[in-house]
Amino acid sequence: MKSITSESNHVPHHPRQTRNRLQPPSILIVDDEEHILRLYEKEFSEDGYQIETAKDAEEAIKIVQEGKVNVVVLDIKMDGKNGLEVLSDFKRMNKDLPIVLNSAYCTYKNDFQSWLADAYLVKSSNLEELKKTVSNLVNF
Amino acid sequence: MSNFEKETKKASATNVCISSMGPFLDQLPIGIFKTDKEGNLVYTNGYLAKLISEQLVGKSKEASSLEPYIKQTVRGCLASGKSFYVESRPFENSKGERIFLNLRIAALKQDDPKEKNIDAGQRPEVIGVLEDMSEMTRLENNLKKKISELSIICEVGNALRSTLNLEEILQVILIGVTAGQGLGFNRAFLLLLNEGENVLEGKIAMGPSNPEEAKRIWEDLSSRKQSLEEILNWHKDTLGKKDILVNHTVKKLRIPHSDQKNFLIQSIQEKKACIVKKDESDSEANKCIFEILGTNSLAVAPLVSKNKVMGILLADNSFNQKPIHEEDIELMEILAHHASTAIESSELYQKLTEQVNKLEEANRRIAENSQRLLKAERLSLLGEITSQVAHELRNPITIIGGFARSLKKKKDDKDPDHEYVKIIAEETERVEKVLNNVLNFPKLEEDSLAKVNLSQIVDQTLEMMEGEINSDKITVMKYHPADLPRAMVNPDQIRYALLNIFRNAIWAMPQGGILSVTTKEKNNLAKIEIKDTGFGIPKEHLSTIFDAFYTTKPDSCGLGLTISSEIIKNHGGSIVAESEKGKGATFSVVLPLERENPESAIKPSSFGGGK
Repeated sequence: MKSITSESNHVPHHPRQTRNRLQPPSILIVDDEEHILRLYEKEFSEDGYQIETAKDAEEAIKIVQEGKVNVVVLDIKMDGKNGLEVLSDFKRMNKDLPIVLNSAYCTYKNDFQSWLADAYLVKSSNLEELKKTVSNLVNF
Repeated sequence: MSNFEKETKKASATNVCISSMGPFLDQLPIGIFKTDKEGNLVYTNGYLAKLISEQLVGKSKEASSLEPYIKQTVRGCLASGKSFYVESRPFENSKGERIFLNLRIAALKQDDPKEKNIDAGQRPEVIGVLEDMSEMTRLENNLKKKISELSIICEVGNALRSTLNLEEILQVILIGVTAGQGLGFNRAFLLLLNEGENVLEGKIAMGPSNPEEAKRIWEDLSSRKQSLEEILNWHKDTLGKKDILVNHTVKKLRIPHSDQKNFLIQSIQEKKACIVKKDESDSEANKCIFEILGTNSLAVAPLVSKNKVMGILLADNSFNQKPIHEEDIELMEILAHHASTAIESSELYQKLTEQVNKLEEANRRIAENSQRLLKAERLSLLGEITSQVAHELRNPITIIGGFARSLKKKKDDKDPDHEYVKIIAEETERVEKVLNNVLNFPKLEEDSLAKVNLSQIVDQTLEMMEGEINSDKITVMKYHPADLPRAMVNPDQIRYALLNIFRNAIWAMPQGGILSVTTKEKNNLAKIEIKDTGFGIPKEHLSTIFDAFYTTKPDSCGLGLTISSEIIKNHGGSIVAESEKGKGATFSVVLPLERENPESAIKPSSFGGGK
């Protein structure tokens, strides 16, 4: 049985950014749900990533401006600026920064703004697909 | 003084006048005479002389003509010693006309001193007066006839007004024309104008098929002595069952309305009733009508109202050959007029009824459409709301499931917590699947279908609900056949659909009760019957329980059964609820079974409650 999640996501197969292979990749997780941040932080850090978290657009932009982030996992529906707007900002700042949209909604896939993202994954308790996507993007 | 003496005295006094008033008496419009004691006329005034010269023939055996009749009457008068009065004595003149005479006779006193100078032999003994009552009698008879005609028209008119049914109206017309108490024709035929084809069509007829039947019917009718009204009512009961031959005959008549030479069309155009005879017909076509009807003479009355042609009424006396008179035609014309009005009313009523029916139908459709619209609106709102709810749930479920998976990796297989964490992870995955289904609601994905045993699905759903079912209060009884064929369904959706129904049943039994679930197979369909002993659903709510946002539960949004129903319908199945208030409810879910490849295994479901 195919789940909707896997069916509706697009996943890139080739990394587009090179990074310092000596350092573990730095991942920024943007979500207004604190417990999602906790879960992702736990899971990705266990896999060896360096974790940055932001609970809104403002925080996220600040972190990206520092230039240390190698990949972003970005929620869409947030208070203040939504993920799609932040996505445009990120791509203006650094068009090579890989960004994975990660939302409870699959409907934003029809919004052309979401096409800027490198991947679009619907949230699932099974993080395997997300992890695989991120690792492909940073070649880790 | 006796009466006789008084009369005689009066007569004697008159005698004086008679001799002197001869010229005046001759002018009077009554007959005056004197006779001798033998009854021989000794004086007649001019009027009586004229009557006698007309050689009237009496209608009795004793006196064949007027003069002997007077003589005989006078003798009788003298013998009895009484004055005499005869009223309306019928005679017939040489032309065959009936004459009715009133005769008044009185004897004169013989020894009246004033009569002494007259010769005893010639002395008048009796004086008499004769009045011709013919005109009066004729008027009286005419009046009686007119009254009877009016009462016929009145009765037929009443009968016509009493119904708006065209069949009945036509029957009444025919009875009015043929009944002895009506116009008394032998047979009657009705032709109506078919406006679509513009043809005058034979429609209905009444009358015997042959002289023998005619005789039998007339004898039958005269022995019954029914009034016209009784006959009309009696016929209504036997509508359309009688007079088959004439009905067959009349249906042979089809005359184009444009046939100007046809006497029936002419009568309609002139709006005039008439008598038409076969030997006066100038065309073969007209003769043909007489041939078909088997008659020589027809009374014809058009059925025309204001400007509308309805048809034509025909009548004949083909069995007793009684000639048709002008008066018959007049009466028939009046009857035809009433009939036209009645037929027109009936047609208007018919049109009105059709319009009313159309309006009612339109009304019904509007009501239906508004119901459908309401349902569609509710469903679209339902879609929106379920989508919102599903999205809201996605985050917490991701978090719970995510952490559970995370913990599961850490725990040793032998640690008892490992199993519990595993269960949390699996259950959240199931919730995520339901969410995905709800978000796709009501679309059924082809590749999510699996061949499953519905009994197992029922068991799994009940297991899922173990925490919700208080086993102290509620007894769950399951009846599954050993060999229920598998059904091709989306197991998650069906479980979800059943879950809502089970929850509904449990909710209806707050004091406890029995929830029995039966699966059976019939005609390649699986039936899942869910029966509770709860407080039931009032009859008036049964049709709405599957509607979105319909609920009687204070803490429910009214979506559960709607989603269940949609899921089952999407599977090509059906769901029906039966209940009576206070007597529990039974939900019957029917799903199509898959019979091919019975040997293929059931796809194991990882969300079946794990037991």
